[in-house]
Amino acid sequence: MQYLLMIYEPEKVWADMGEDARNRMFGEYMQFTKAVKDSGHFRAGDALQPVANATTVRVRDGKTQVTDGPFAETREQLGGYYLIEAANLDEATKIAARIPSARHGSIEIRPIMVFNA
Amino acid sequence: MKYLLLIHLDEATQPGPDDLKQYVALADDLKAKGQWIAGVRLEPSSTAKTLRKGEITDGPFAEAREQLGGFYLVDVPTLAEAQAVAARIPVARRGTIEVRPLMATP
Repeated sequence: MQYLLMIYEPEKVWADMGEDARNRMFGEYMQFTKAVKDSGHFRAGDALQPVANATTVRVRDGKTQVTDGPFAETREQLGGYYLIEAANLDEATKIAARIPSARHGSIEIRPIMVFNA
Repeated sequence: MKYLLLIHLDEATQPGPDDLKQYVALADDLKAKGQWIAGVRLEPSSTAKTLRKGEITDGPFAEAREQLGGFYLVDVPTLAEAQAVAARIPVARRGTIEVRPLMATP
């Protein structure tokens, strides 16, 4: 079963931490990513640019409308995700808890829909 | 440049057979152009759990009028092209597509 682990945290946390703390955090992410790759759980993972660079697209009456900013303004912002393979929700949750940002942010865990061809 | 296209829609309005055909056509076109990286459809937000400070709660990170239903990951030269792809996602006609550039990987 695949699960999407979405990482929400205040972007400010990264801006406010000193360079040393930021490098430590990057190091922890690299360690975590390596660990879930080694254990065979990792399928994909990406970090997003800040929401300041987000745009939203809607098509209404055949016309494309583009606006600046994310879909929704929130206290914490989507900063990245991991797509993992896990036996069940419990295992997915345990992996989510090891994401470094879980200490100060929120991780949403969503199962991926499986299509039977 | 890689862009994540986050697909938000009112879950009460699920895609119909015509939509699904258009999804397949869009994916095939992006694959033929070498712009496709991944596409994922999520189980409904009612299946979401959220982990906050060690506590698990039911439901998604944020309750909203529209819910995240899936995403595309595409590789296109410019933001304008990413937005043009977003506009071709069938749900763009009634939902919202958020376009987010990825951080460059070192």
